[in-house]
Amino acid sequence: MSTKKLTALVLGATISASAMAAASAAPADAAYKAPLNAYGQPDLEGTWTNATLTTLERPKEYGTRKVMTPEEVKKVEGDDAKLVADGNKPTDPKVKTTDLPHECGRGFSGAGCGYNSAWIDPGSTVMRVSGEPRSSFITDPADGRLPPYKAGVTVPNMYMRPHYGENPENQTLAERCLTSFGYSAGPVMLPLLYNNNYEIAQSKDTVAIVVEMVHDVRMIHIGGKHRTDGERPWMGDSVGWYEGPTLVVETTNFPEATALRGAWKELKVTERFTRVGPNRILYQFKAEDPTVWDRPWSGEYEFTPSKGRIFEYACHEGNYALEGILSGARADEAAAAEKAKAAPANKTAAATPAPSGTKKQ
Amino acid sequence: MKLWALVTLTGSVAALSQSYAAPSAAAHKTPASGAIERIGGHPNFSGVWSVMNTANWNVEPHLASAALELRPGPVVPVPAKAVVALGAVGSVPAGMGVVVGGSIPYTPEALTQRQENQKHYLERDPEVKCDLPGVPRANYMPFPFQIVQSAKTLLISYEYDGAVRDILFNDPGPAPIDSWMGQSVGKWDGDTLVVTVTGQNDSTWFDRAGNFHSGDMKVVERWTLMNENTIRYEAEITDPATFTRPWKMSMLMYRRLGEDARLQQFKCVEFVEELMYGDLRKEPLK
Repeated sequence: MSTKKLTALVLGATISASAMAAASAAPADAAYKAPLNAYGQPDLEGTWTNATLTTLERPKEYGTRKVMTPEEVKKVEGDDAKLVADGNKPTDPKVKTTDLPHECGRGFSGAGCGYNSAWIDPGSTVMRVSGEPRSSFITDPADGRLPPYKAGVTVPNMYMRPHYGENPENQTLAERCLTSFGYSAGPVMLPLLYNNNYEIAQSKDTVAIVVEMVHDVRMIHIGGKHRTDGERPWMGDSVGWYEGPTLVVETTNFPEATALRGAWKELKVTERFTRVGPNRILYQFKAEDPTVWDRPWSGEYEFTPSKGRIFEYACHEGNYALEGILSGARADEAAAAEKAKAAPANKTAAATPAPSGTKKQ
Repeated sequence: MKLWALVTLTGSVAALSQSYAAPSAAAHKTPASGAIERIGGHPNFSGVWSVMNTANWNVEPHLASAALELRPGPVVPVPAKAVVALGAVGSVPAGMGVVVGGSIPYTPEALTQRQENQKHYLERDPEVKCDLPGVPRANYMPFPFQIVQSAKTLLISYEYDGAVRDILFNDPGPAPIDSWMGQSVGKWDGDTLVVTVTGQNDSTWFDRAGNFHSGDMKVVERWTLMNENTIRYEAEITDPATFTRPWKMSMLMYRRLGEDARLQQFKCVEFVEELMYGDLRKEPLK
């Protein structure tokens, strides 16, 4: 039996993959003492999730206010619950993709609205950091948004790629099952529409972070040094160390294919993982690339335990969608060519009636 | 393949296993040379490992041969057209085999299927399409894997295709759905790690020689550290739909040391796009 995958058919969805930004303080639960593992390291092991309704960047209406009011939280979480309920209604099998709503929330429209709620799992609550409901992951800059880009820097749209449908290499990394859509593995690790689950395992010289999508594993070399050979592995080159109760991970050597909001060449991401409660890991991050942004940006959110373990996300093995996209594009071209061929012929036929017995085009 | 130098352990295994790393300030206690490190009361398998055999070409004993897929020639079989350009690079290295007793006890029908698989190797081997390898094949592919073990966790991360296994020490019951890598439930038998793997689909193979199984296969692995740098790995295969009796594989795995002890990435999905989707390009290559 072949494991079917949730093919990443994300059509032009600008999922503002959420993430939280952070202050430097890592306040723990009162009197909470982070456990150490058998190696004497802060114990971060387990399966964790960062699913949330909060996004990386702050909606502009909040201005510089990083903490939401109880009314705002209620509205955001309530609206989402309604969206989920609507999306759980059975879809009329007679409905065609062209009949689907133009907008159905979360940036989806048209055929993208074909996802019933059961297929998605973006979280249903606003992110709490130290109990505070947050309006964005980014905390610095103060408006919770990415700092200005340097003049001349362009950020390619990761979903609307040029030459879409022409070759497999023109498709998104997610459609090709090379990485998740969005930025699930990171770094910065950002939640997305579904499968926001991670497992952390620690040996004395390595921290492995299993990312549900697309069974990527981040291997963090404790006490290691960045490679200097010019090679840029998937998810960059991560080294780490422990500072008291905190795992610090520094990543450089990002590949262009997985640029973080346009940055890769000179990008450095620093992540800090701190166990601040039995069911909370504070995740703080800082991204800097002086060739892309005027200044570094940073933020924070909290991981909470996943419900259950992580199942295999065997994407490529069931990737019927990529074949479907490419063959669909070829079929469209063939139909257009056929139409073009037929059109002038019909015109001629209309102008000069075909003699009887002549085979019509 | 790289030359695997078995570096004499003069320093900490931890330091040696960090090819790009200077020994960290948080240096760890170095076990006495030859001692098997323990964690949580059990042998510590953490590290980067690989086999040094040719089981992935064929788990049964075999001499070297010209290619993985052959076609009849005027005198002897010759490499199939699709691989002939590879020359010696496409040939198969010999091996002593890893099947205990030498041959796999196929049922007659399954044996015929294996022969068919060999004839149509290129279109059938899931490795050709970069599919996840399943267990036990993942363990003896010509790529290393890394074990990350703590007192409560044991994770196996494979270089090939980013395959990964989390060994569950609390049996959750039957796998809720079949998967490529299956469900691995571990327990300790003294100093041997015993892992029972079920819930694998029927789409993986044992090797490049067409050796296969059904979706009902159960694999019981036994991982035993013989010394700090060598694992004796055994896998008992039970699958009545395919074999007349349970059978075993047995092989050694070696710790990668020094500059070799760093897992790389082999995301082969993009390497097979021309093979799988080339004919669907807007302008297929001639």
